[in-house]
Amino acid sequence: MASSSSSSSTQVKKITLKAADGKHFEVEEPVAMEMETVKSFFVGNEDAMKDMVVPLLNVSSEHMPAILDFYRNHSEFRKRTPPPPAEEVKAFNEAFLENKSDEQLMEMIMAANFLNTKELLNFLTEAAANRIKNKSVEYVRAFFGIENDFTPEEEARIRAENEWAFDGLDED
Amino acid sequence: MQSVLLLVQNMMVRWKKKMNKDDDHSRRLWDELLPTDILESIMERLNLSDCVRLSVVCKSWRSSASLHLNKKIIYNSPCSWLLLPHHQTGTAKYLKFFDFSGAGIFYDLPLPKCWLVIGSSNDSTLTLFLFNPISGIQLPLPPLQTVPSCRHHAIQQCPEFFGHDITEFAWKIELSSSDASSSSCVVAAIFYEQEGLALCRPRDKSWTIFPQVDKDQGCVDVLFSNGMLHALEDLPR
Repeated sequence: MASSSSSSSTQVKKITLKAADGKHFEVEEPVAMEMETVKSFFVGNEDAMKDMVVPLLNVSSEHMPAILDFYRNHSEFRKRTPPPPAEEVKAFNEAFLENKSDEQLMEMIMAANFLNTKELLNFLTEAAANRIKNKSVEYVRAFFGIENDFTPEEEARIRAENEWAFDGLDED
Repeated sequence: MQSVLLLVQNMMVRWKKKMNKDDDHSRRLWDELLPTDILESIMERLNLSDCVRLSVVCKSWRSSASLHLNKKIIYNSPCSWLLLPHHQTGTAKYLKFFDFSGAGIFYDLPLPKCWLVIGSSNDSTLTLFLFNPISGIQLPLPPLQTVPSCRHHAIQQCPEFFGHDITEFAWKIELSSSDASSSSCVVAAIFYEQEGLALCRPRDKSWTIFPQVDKDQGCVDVLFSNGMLHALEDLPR
């Protein structure tokens, strides 16, 4: 990595990230480096000053605090010996998703995809999958905000091919 | 280097402005540009019936989902399904499967529409019938004695004909529809040394011979496609 760790200071370096709506976030370097997109901004690029502002186009400032919180906690979980009990991780993850609307969840998935962090992306796609499990097609369309571009005849034909998959669903 | 980065930054800002032009547009981005790998990774966490429903969401999801469904069924099935017996043999429209991986989910799938052609012979008769190996339905085809070349062979040239392998005589048998039990289904066949095509409906009493167009040409292949029967004739020898 490019960090020729300036041994002059013991203070944790900060990196400034700029969310899509222009808001700045000062983030400790190890936390910022959890994001592959930020990492690749600096890696192999000695000239990139750590005081440069890294623009994060697909991440709205609304979600930045939660996302950074996720990185901080999960990197701590990884480093801790002995590893944290499963209940502790589960409790954090559940609290993370609490009060998040479907739309917020999808926006965070897009953000995690842009930031290129597998751990967060996997966690969020799992959450999205859980929310659409055993739900109707109409529910899934509304969940993702997708417009149906089938004609009624086409849709009826496709449904008839696999009638069995449309019975006994959970209520929307 | 710094100037290059600034340039990139500026480009990104412009791009971002373009993307945020109106809220409607950015909302649609998700639906039009949904990264396939995200959809894939969501589908990996869902069971088969969830994925089937995702394939009905919109056209672009249909193509992603059908690719994924094939993978899921063929390669990623952690356990095979158990085919449960059904009680109404002959009338059942669905097969019931038990999926071990899906916490005891039952699937009702339409009966596979495949048929085996089985021949059975005894001293005096040679019968063909269609057999669905899963539903157990059997549909008799007309006796082969009603095909002239077969009668000719059996009676005049080869008395042991009935002990022979049926595949030596029936070269090709095609159905006009996979629903062979329906009265509109037509069976077309090419038989050994039989000029023209042999046609029948399941349960008919006899085969009907459709003469070939040119006397010197024999029929070598036959195919139903979009409700049309196509026959390929050999070149004159």
